[in-house]
Amino acid sequence: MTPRWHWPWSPRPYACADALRRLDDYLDRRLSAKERRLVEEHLAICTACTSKYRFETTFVSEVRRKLARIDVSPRLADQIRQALRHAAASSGEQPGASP
Amino acid sequence: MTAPTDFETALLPLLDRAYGLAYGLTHDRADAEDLVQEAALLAFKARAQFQPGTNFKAWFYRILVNAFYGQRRKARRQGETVDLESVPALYLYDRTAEIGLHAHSDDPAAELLGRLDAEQIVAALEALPEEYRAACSLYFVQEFSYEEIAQTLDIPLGTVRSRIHRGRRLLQQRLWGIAQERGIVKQLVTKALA
Repeated sequence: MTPRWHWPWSPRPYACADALRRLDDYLDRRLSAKERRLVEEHLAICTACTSKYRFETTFVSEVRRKLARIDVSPRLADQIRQALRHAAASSGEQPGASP
Repeated sequence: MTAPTDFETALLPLLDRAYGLAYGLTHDRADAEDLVQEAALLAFKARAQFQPGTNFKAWFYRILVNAFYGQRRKARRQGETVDLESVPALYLYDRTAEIGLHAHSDDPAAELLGRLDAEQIVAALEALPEEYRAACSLYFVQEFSYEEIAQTLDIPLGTVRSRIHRGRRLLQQRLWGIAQERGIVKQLVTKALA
């Protein structure tokens, strides 16, 4: 969708191609405030691009949500704590010793 | 940070996420545990080099990722070549639209992702070429900023940006392949036709 007109003193509104080219940077919050505003103005009038932006935003958040559920083995922390104490003892340091 | 207890206090809260990152890299629970433990010991030995006031998490993850690369170099296999130019944007959006899911679901991305479990997503991450895997694991598992990824992997911001953008497309392509293999696409087509 290409906007039909805009105020001559304001930046040219984004068409679909402009908005879609910036999708990745929008997702990762890498756009300038001006670019972000132009993308959001375009999304406010374009359901096709809104659907694509929404899909990609959900994709990132859902993948992150699923991956946050990977449980660490409860014994790993104990193993590491023991390994660190063993390493400290081997190097002649006392646990809690200050530098 | 040179006192062993200070080091332990800083490290232990990071272990859950470090394990998630290691699992994303190795795709094997035992290998991930070994990798986290190896990284913890390497970091412990190098703790005097940590600059107080800088990002301990990024410093530790950098050691973990480097330890992973070190292990991989020892057992190097021929890397697959990926024609990144051929990976289209909006890959999953287009595939889910093609099977008619958009007409029958308010949230097609959630509909598809809801049927994939964490193990399958990790399998897709693991299938990414090595340089994309590390950046994408930090991005998806740790939710690191571009700056933190650049610092952890010691690569420029522009490289982080291209690895995340392309890695995301590749991940979508891999996930669609997994969804097809596991019959999830078939379930979605059936639902769309119902």
